[in-house]
Amino acid sequence: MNSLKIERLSLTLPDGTALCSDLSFSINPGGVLALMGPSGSGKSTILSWITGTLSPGIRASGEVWLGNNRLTDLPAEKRQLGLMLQQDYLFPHMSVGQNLKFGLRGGNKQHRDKRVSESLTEAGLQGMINRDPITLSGGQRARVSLLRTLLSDPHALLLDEPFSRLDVTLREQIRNFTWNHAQHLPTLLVTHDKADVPVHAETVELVPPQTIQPEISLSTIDSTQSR
Amino acid sequence: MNLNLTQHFCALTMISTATLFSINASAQQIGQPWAETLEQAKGQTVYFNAWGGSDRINGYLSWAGKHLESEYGVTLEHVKIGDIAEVVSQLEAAKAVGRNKDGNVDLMWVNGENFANMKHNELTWGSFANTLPNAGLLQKSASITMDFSVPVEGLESPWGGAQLVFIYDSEVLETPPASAAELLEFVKADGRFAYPAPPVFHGTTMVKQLLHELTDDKTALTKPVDQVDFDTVTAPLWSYLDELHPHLWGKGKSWPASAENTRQMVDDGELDIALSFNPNEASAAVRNGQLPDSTRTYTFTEGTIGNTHFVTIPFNAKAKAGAMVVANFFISAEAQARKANPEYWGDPTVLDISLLDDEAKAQFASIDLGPWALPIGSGKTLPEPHASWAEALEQAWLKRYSN
Amino acid sequence: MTRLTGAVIALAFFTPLVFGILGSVIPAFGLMPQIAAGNGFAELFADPRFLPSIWLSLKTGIIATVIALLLTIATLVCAHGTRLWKFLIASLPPLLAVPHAALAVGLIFLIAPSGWLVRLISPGLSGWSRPPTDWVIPDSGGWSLILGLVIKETPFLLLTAAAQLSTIKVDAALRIGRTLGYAPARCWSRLILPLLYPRLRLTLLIVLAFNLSVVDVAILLGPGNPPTFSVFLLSLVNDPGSRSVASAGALLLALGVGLVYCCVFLIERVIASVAESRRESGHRGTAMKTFRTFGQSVIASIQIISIASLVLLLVWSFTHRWRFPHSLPTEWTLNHWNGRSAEFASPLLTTLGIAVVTLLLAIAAAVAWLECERRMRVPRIDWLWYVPLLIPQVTLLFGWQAIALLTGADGKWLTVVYSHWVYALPYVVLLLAVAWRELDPNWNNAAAVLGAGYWKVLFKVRIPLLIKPICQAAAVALAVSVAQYLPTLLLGAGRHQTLAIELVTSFSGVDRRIIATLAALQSLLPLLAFCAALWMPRMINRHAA
Repeated sequence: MNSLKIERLSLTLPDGTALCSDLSFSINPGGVLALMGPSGSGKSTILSWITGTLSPGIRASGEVWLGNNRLTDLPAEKRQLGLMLQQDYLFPHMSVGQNLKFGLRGGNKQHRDKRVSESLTEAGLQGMINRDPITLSGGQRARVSLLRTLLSDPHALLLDEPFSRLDVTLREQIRNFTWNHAQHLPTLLVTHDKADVPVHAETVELVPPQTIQPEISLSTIDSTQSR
Repeated sequence: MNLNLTQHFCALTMISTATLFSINASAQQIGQPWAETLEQAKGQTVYFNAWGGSDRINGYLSWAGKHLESEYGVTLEHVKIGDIAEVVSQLEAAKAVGRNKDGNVDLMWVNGENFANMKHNELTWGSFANTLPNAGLLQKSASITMDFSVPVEGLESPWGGAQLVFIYDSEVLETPPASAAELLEFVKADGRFAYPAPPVFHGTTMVKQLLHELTDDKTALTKPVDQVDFDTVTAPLWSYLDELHPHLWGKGKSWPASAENTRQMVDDGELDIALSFNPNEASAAVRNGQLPDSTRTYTFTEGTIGNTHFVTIPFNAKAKAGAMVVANFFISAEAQARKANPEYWGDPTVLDISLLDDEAKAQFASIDLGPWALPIGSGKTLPEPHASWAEALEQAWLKRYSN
Repeated sequence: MTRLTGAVIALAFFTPLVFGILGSVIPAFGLMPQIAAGNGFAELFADPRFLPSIWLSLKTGIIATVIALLLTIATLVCAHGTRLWKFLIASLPPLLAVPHAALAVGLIFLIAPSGWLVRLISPGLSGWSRPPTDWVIPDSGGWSLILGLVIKETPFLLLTAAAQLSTIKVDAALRIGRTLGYAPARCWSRLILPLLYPRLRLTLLIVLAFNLSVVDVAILLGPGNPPTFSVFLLSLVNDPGSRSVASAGALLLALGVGLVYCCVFLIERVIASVAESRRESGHRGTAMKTFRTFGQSVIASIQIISIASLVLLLVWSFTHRWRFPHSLPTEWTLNHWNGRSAEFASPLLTTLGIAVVTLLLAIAAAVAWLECERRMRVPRIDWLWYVPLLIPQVTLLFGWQAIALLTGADGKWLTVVYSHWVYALPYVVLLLAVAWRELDPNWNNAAAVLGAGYWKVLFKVRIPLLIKPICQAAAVALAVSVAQYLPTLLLGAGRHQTLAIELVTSFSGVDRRIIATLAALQSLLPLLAFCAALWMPRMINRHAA
């Protein structure tokens, strides 16, 4: 596995507001970097840029690397980065199994069926393969959603407030589930909740643009260190 | 025997009802002093149902409307119709449900098949036409007393003459084809020609024209179609059309929508020859910027089909007095002179100019047709076949050439 | 608003539908001898135009609908999220407002062998000094009709789809799909279209019914011999003595359209089951760059054709002389606008009179209905409003005309307005319903707490708050009314010469420059209405403030 590296990222909104400038960091496999800051500080936009799904109109410069693989100009579907959003976005026209198979890459039918049922069992969701996602509980949905991402064999994991919508009682459970499964991947976590951040994580604090000078000192942060 | 009696009885009843009806009608207006008619007409609105497909005709009618309003206090509403047969069918329906008064139509533009139909079904009001003061100025010709071989009997009042003519651009075409045979040669040599598909009126007329020229039995055409051997009479026509169609614009599969459309297409260069039922149309079109200065009009050497068109008052018209005033105005020297002027319409008159006063004579003499219209005196007129032929030819044509 | 109001509106709306069908059924079997003698079916089947015209209608209607649907999907897939998309969303609504007939006329002037496209490249590029003879417009195969329907119906489908996109979280689906490794086109086919299609189905059926039975566009752009089935039926209903034949045909048309609906449902099932099994394969697909470019250029060309057709109408309306192969008129004139203003004034006023009363009645009925619905006095019947749009217009109108002839209601101004109202109301109700239901009920409560009664709340709070969608719905109602040809023709008995009637009746005969002016005028009315709909709420609100 390779580390995820961001170099000299600058983002400017259509109205000219600079969201960040010259931001650089790197995350090793198994490492977690938490991007923190209040809403509006550009956390999610940075994630969009990394995954290659930035909305048109936002100007960006910088490079994103996965090991020696330059991702900057690749389309989103070629980057092989796993993305988890606040909502689970389980597709309503597919069953739990179909959702997972949608994520799973390659293999013949037999192999695919096996992988999906194994991963469900492993996540404590055995027997749910033909269920309509709408009939699942919040925690179950969150797990299916993460499984779907993991089955697509991502080289890094990008999490955008993935726990914020869950009940407080569920959060701890899903956090553990997530970190257990992300052990071998570089993980970027966007959150505003300190409790989401695992102990071994590095933290980058982002500041909303209206209060910062264009020359912010974020460029000096280089969290190459992992545990 | 019994059956025969019943039939006689029915016929008798019908005749007596018809007589009663017409007596009743004339008690209202026909034959009454003209001054009374004028008085009744004042303030009436006359719904004149007439083909609305020509802006010049529409313009002429709005002129007539202004004149009628100021002179007689009659409001003329031009109800623009795509095909007057629609109106005949409405009247038929009205008659069937017994709406014998306050109908939607006060006056309508009609001739030929539609008139025959109206006459047959007693949809006309009565013989009002001969009682109009201006009726004395009319030409005394067969085409005015007979409408497509059907006696007019005063049920409709003449309005204008018409003859099938061909329009071309003399800069594109030096010698246009002047017979059916030459036309076939012309299209085979990549000449650009097409006619509207029947039952479009001008298309049917073109088919009649060709039939008249090609058939061996021309007298058959003056008889009702069920009294002749249709297949034998028309056989040469169909073999000719079979040969002609593949060489037409649209390859015999697409057809121009109307004669006016062919005129536009001549100007565009899509066709070499346009059809018209108005010998003076080109003259107006050139002045109007719709055709080039080099436009000329001609007929086939042996002549082309011509006829007269009329206006009639339906049986259930609301403003009958007003309609009579309009019909009478239509055959006044003033209205006819303007109508004959290609600047406004350019339709040949139905008046006998020798009967007019000097002022009116001068009005007609001053009309300048230019070199574009059919030269006066040229172009022999061929009679229309009996009214029943149109439907028969249309059906036979559609059967063969509906792809 | 009482339950009675709701009942009256529903009755006024649905009674004509019942009578329309009855008025077609009864004469077809010869049961209305006053206006239609004999059983129409035998004569219909014997007519040489019967089978060819049915075949032509099926061919043009189905191909046009399929192309419009495919183009809509291709546009979504290829252009969504691009600059072209923004341009489309902004430029489609005004084009949608332009009446079909006017656009068809412009299209003919554009694509005919002597049309503008050929003039632009002749004789220089093409070498044609006279118009080519390789094709004719309208062509016998119905392809110009198909093109005319496609350029008008694609925007309708596309805008309906665009309005639904937000409800199915397209951006998120695309993001998730793409980060899971799926090419954008695959994201659309596997994630978005399966959710979008059910929301598009009703619109698709409306488009299908329209394409299969349209009259005015088919008169202008369709082949004349044989014409499409609806045009053939129209010529029959106008033919003395053929009403029973026409009614029989109208009945067959309605059944045929119903049959095509069934086929759509069947095909839907097949495609859905194939798609479902393929969704599980996990194949990611490739980014088809050329396909994207192709799709974008097709929809852009369609858009350009529409706009060029409209511009061409304006150009011709200022032309005095313009012969082939000049690219532009050689002599210009203001005469058609200036000198003929009196001639145009009467159809213009007739059109406006009918349209304005139609829109007022439609808005009043829609507001009353939605108020009843909000207060639970009447049930929600959204899909029922679509019924008149799902039945071929020819079928309903032949029925209405038969009944109007029997009762003497034909030719009456109110009869015409009533028929326009039936066709405008569905759009108005469905447009307003969204806004009406979304408006926060707390506005009501706030006003009620301040002591305002029901009527005061309605007129001082709800309607002012909703003035923007009301104005938009009014503009749509006006556009619908201005475009109505068949109802005005068949129920107006020639007494109400609107622009639509003038345009279609006189198209084949009248001077092209006059036709262009008429068509331009007919297009300008709804366009101006849409501008007014944008501007009026601001004016009203400014006065209120």
